[in-house]
Amino acid sequence: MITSAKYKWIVALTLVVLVLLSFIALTLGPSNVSLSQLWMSFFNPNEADAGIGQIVLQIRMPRIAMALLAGMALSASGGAFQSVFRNPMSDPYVLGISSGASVGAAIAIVLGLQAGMFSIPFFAFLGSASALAIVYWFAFNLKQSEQNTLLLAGIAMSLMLGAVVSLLLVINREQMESIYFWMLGGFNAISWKQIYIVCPVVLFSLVMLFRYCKDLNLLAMGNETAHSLGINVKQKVAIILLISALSVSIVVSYSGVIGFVGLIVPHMVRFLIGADNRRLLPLSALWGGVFLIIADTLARTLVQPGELPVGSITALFGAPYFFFILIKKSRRHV
Amino acid sequence: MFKVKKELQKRSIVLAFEDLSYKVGNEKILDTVSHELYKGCFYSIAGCNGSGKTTLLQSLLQIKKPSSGKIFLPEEIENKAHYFSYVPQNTLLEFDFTVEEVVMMGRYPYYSGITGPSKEDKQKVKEALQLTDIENLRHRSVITLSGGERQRTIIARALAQDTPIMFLDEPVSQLDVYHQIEVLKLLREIADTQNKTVVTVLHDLNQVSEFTDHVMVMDEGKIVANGTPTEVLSPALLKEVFRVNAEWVCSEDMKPHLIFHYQSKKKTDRRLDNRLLDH
Repeated sequence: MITSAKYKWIVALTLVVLVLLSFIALTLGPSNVSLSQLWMSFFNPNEADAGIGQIVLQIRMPRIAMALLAGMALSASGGAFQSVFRNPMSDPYVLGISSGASVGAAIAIVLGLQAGMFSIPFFAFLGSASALAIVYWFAFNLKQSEQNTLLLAGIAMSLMLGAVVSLLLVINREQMESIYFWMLGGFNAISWKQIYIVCPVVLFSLVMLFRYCKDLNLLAMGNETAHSLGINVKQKVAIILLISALSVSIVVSYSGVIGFVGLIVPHMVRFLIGADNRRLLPLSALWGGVFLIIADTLARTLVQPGELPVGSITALFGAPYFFFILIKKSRRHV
Repeated sequence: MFKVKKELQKRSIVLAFEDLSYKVGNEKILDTVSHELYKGCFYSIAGCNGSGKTTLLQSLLQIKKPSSGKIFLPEEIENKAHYFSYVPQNTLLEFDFTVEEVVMMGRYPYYSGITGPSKEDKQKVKEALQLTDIENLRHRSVITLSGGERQRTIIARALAQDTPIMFLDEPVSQLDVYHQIEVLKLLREIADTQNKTVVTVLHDLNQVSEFTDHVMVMDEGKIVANGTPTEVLSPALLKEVFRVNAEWVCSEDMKPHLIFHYQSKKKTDRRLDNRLLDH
């Protein structure tokens, strides 16, 4: 455990890293923008190159904002899932919650509901909430010791929902491109208009989640313990999972399925500062933002002039990390 | 939930239950059990596996909602967690909480997230750490602890909760002999000096008779016998309920002890017997 003074320093340092990183990310991309040009486009827009101003303010900034919001939402809800399911390997992607959202979104597209601003997020929310309900049923009808069954249930769920999306793809070839996008995940289609919707929802769910951190600590100790310490387990779990589903589905609606963020980030932060959710969730949210901004910048710059899907970058980091945790866990239980 | 019965207070009863049943489908896990728990008494619940001991504790705590029956308390309680503490049979420790953080969870029902723990909360945690002899492990992650150290951490958490009634489900079954005795001595002391009611599930019948005031023997969801250990644990009952042959003997310090006679002979002996019979 670290002292609260040390924790504040770590948070401050993270914020500095986040700001610096965002500026660096703004300069990188297919057309290089120098730091002085960046400065000009911010503070002296009249004299700046209009094209560069456009790129920085209208293309790169909203993208970075979205990466930040998505990272925050996915990491915080990943941390919350881990406590609720008492399994350090859960995250929205592994448990199939993100896939649920993507199926919801795909159904909305197939039904031709794209025009309405809120129909895709709404369907995504329905999809993720239903996937969550099924995983929840598995988690609470199994004995505490059979933790891996939860992961298997989640993986089965992901596979099944992935198959559903593929089916929708094949049946609706004309919309293939827009559905395919949800399977890979990325921030290439983000403009300020979407940020105005995502930002309030994500911030609202984060604030709500942070309010339940003490309860999450007790839930992590098992339902019986949580119950005996005065927690209404079913009610609290339902609220926490609904809030998480809300933030995951809004992120998936606009940036597709980005896996493993909610697994890696809380896990690393826990290693750094301990398991107390009152510290873990806020710091995980910040590092989630840092992580996705890095991943998105890599996606934009590694293969120029093309672009890689962010989801594949995070999976490239995430899947080996998943193996790493598995090995660590099995060693501990020997 | 709980019903309030003021007259219990005069008789210094902290909890009474009447005709408590818990059913799963048609199977009765708990079958109309009734009892009263007195202040400052150390109770044990004994019985075979699957006789309903854990279900009884969890029904009293309302973790499992009883199918029928009533639970009475002498006073109105605002927060259940201020009245009961509970050490479950298995506590899952999957995350890197420190020992101190886990023990502090016992104080969560007493403070809000905004104000943080008070001086009193910190004091209670310190006392609990000292009583369970884990103060030196304070900053260790619970994941790195041995089974016994973990169990003492969980017991310390229940102690920090500072409730009139403590329920402990097999609190010593994972401990070595030394720590088994230490924990039972501690629980005895808490009942005596702090006037708390302690209810534990125990399997070692000698520990039942040595440390506890009162034993409830359970079989197939019913309390089949209850009273002081030496009175209740007769050879006849042990044969009937536990299917073992045992007798009471007096040790040198004039304390009664149970000695078990093992029924089944070794396979080789039996073969030898048969051969002798053949001749």
